[in-house]
Amino acid sequence: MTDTTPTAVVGAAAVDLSAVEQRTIASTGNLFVAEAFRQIDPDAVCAYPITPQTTIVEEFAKFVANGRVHTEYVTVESEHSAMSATIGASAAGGRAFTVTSSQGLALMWEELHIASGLRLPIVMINANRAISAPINIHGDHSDVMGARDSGWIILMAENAQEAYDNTIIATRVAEAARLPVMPTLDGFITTHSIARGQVADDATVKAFVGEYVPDDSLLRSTSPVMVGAFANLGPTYMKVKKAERDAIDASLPIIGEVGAQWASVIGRDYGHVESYGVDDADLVVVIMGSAAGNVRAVVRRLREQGQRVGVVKVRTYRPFPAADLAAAVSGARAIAVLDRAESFGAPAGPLALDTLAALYGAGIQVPVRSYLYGLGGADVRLDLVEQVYADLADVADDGDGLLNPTPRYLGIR
Amino acid sequence: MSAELTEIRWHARAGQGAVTAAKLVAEAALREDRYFQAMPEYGPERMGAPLKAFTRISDAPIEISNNIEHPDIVVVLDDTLLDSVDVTEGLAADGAVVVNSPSAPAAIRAQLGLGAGVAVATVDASAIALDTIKRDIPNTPIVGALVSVRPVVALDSVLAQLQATFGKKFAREIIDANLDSVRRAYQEVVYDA
Amino acid sequence: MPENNTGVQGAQGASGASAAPGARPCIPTTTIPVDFRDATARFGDWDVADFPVGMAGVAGNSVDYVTGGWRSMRPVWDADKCKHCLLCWVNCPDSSITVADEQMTGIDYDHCKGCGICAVECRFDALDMRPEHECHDEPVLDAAAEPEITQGA
Repeated sequence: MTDTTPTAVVGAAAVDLSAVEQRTIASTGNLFVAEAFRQIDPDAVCAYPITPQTTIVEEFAKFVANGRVHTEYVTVESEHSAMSATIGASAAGGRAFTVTSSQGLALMWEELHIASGLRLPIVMINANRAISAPINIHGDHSDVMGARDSGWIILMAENAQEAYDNTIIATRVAEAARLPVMPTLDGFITTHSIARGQVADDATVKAFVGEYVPDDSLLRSTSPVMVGAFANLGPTYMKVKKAERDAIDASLPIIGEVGAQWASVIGRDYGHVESYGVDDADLVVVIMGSAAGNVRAVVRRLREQGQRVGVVKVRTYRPFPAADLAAAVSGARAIAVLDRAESFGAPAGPLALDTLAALYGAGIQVPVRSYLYGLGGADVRLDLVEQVYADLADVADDGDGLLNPTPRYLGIR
Repeated sequence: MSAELTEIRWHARAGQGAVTAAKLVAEAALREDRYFQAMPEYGPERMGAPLKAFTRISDAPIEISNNIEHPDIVVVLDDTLLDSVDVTEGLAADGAVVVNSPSAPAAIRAQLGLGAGVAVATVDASAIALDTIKRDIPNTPIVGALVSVRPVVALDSVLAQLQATFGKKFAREIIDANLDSVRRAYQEVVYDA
Repeated sequence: MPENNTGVQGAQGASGASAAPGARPCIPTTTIPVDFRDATARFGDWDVADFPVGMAGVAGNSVDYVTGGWRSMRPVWDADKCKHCLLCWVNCPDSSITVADEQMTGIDYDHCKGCGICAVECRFDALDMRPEHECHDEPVLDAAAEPEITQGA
C-alpha cells in the first residue's frame, strides 16, 4: 500500500542543515525572485516580458547569457506562446518555469487549464497587476482572480521575502502535488520596491528543490507516453476532473509540509493563513498581499489604544484553507474582507466569497463586510484601514445585516 | 510617524540618478543593520521628465507600503523643479529640505515660503559633480549633503557602500571621484535650521 | 499487424469502369476489433483513481484500431496499371498504401479513410474511387451502427 501522507508524498529535503548560510541583501522583489530562479536553475524558461514582471525575465536572461544557469531560455512572441512552450517543456520532462502579469496572464488563460488538466508541475510567477480596461500597469489582484478557478495552486506573497521563499517552496509543491503553482507578488509595491530580505546559499536551495524525476514524460524512450488525450462524451472527462479536484484538495497538506521543511532550513515559518491579534479580537480584517502589512500596522496602533482588533492574512489562496481561516476568525464579532479585485456581479469580492463559504461551512454566522480597495495600485492609506475597523465596530454593535448588498469601495467618493 | 522611522521624498528629473540615490541610502542603512524601503513613482518615462522617488529608513522592520504623504525630508536634485512642482507638499513641520542649488538657503526658504520649523539646506551638487566626476549627475553628492543635514545614515556607511558597489565595476579614479563628491558635499552644504 | 489488404486483382476489373452488379471485391479480413464503443465502455468502468495522472497514458496507436470504418468511398487498385512510382504512398495522409521492397502491394482498408488523394495523384489511372457500399457484401460495422444503403433500381 503506497504511503500517501504528505510527508511521504513530499519526501525529505536533502539539505545539510549545518551548512546553511543566509545573506541579508537589499533588492527589489523582482530581483529576489530572479535570484530564486537562478538558484533553482530550471531546465527551461519560456517567457515574454510585461510590466511589472519584466525585470525578472531580464535579470534571468543575464544569468543565462553569463552562463550562471543551465536553463534553456526561449524568447517567445507572446504570453500564449510562453505557456504553450512551457507546457511542452514540462510534458517533455523538464522543470519548466515562466513569469507573467495582467494581460499576459489573461492571454494564456486557455492554457492555464491545459497545464493543470495535464497535471504538469509548472511554476509561474505572477506580478499582480490590474487588468484592462482601462489600462493600468499598477498592482492589484484582478489578474490572479481571473485564474482562480483554473486548477493552479496560488500563493500570495506579502513582500519580497515571501516572494523568494514561495518560489522555492512552489518548486517542490508542484512536483509533489503534480499541479502547476503560481507564486504571486504585488505589482510595483513588491516588484519594484527595494526591500530587505534574506537569501539562502546556492547549495542549500539546490539541495532543497532536488532533481525533478517525472513518472511520465514525452522524452522517455523506453516507454512512449501520450500527453493531451481526448475524453469525449461520457463519464471520462468528469472522472479526470474529479481526480484533479482530489489532487488540489490533497495539495493543502503538501504545501504545509514543504513550507514546514523550508522553515526548518531557513527559520521563517509558512502558514496558509497568518494571524495577528486575533486571539482576543472582536473585529477582524481578512486580506491578502502587500496591504496586509498596512493592516497589521494599524492593528498594532489600535491595540495600543486598547481596541480588540486583529488581522488574518491569507497566504495560500488556492487551494483555499477554509478550516484554517475559520479557526482564525472564530472569535470575531464582525469580519471585514478586503479584496484587491472585483468579481463583478457577485454578491461580494472574490476573497470574501471564499471566506463566506468557509464561515458557513464551519457554522460561523457573524456579520461580514466586503470591501474593495487598492484597485489599479490605488494607495492603501492607513486612515482607510482605520475606517474599516470603525465601520466594523458599528456593525458588531448594531447589526444591519450579515453582509452588505454590494461591496463597498474604500477611498473613493 | 514613529521616532524610529524616517521618510524621504526625492524630486528629480529622469536621468539625474534619483533612483540610484534612493537605493544608495537604503543599502547604506543595510550596512547599519537597519531596515529600509526604496521605490520610484512609476510614470511615463523620458529623459528630463520630473519624477519622484521615496525612501523609508527604520530601526524596526517596515511592514507598511503606502505612499509617503508626510516626508520628514525632501531632497531636490534639480532646482528648476521648484517652480513647477510642489516639492514641499506634506512636508513635516519640523522637516528638512535639501536642494541642489548654488543659492543660499534663505533664498530657497523664501522661494518656497517655508516656516521657521523647517530646516533648509543647499549645496551646489551639480558643480561638485562636474568638478569631481566630470558630469552633471548630482546624485552622489546630494546624498553626502543629505546625511550632513539629517544623519539618516552615517557618512561612513554611504562611503563604504559606494566603495562596495562601484568597486566591482569602475576604475579607481572614478570610485575616488564619487567618494570625493560625497565628502565635499557633506562639507560644503549650508543650511539654516 | 493487420494483413496487407488488396483491392481488385488485375484480372477482375478495369479502373474507371464500374464493376458489374454483383461483382464485389472481397473485404479483407482483419484482426483489429472495431473500437469505438469498446473503448468508451472500457473507460466507463474505470474509477477516478484508475486513470493515469492527467490522462497521460500508454501511447495509443491507430495501428491497433480500425480507423477506416467511416469511409464512404474507397480506392480500388489496378495492379496491372501500377508503375510503382509510389506517389500515392508519398501523399497518403493515413499511411494506407502498403509497400514492400519499394513496390506497392496494396491498400490498408483498416486505415484508409477514402480521401481520394491517391487517385488524384496517380498518373497511370491505377487507382479508382468507388462508393464504399459497392465494395462489400456486408457492412464493416454492425447494422445498428451504419444505415443500410439501398441501391437504386
